[in-house]
Amino acid sequence: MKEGALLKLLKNPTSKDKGFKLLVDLYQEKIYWMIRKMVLSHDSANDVLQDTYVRVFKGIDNFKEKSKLSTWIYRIAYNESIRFLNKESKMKKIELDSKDDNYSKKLFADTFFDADSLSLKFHQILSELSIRQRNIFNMKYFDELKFEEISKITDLNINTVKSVYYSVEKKIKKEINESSL
Amino acid sequence: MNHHFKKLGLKVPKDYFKISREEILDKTNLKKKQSTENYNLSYYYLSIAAVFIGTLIFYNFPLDNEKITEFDSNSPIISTVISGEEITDEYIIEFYSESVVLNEIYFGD
Repeated sequence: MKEGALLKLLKNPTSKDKGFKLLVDLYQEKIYWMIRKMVLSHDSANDVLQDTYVRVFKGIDNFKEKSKLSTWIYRIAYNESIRFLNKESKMKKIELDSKDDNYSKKLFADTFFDADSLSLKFHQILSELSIRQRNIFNMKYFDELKFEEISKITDLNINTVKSVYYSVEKKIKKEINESSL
Repeated sequence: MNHHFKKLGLKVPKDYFKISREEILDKTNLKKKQSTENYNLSYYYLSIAAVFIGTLIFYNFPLDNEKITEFDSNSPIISTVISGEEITDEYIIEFYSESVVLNEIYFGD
């Protein structure tokens, strides 16, 4: 179903529920994985996913169509994840340009994490990136979002997004190759 | 989304997306239903409370103003309120003996 048709369903009070079900079917999995890579634990990702959809449901009537519907949902999920990380850190607001010191701790505490040596290497590299770099890399590499979409979701200039991604990609390739030698 | 497991070792519980879908739909629909149910309940309780208060007023407060001042002045307790004296055994005995005397004076043969 095209976004325009879906939006029509969502904006009409009589078909809103039907439209919302379709919206959940379309994006639930993609949104979950984006959130999961940000918050790391499955339980936290589940909570943030639900909060995201509740916000989407409440806010759909005010959606101004300035971006694609999918970008708007990703942006809500991204902001909900940041909100969650801030709440989780309690003491201070998280700095997106600094590393997540609890990355490994959160990852290994999760029951739904089962890594082999390649995954561990990947995580080791990701844990050394700043939160912002990691998010940008994950959105492009794993979630296969376009640079333009990532720029809108993260509220960053598109050229910044591109340069961050390419530098991180280069670093990861180099480190993976070195470790496999 | 298999690459999340292959490359990152991230897994989800069995049937997670199916269960999660239902939870999301429940959460959004329940909120709507709950708010309408809350309104329905509050209207229901308000109308019961109104009937109850109306009944209380009707049966407890006399509509005739004269009745408001009607009380049994022959009671020793009421008389202490009027005279400002303390209620003691002596007072009650004296009150009754006085009323017997007064009855004899005014109504006696």
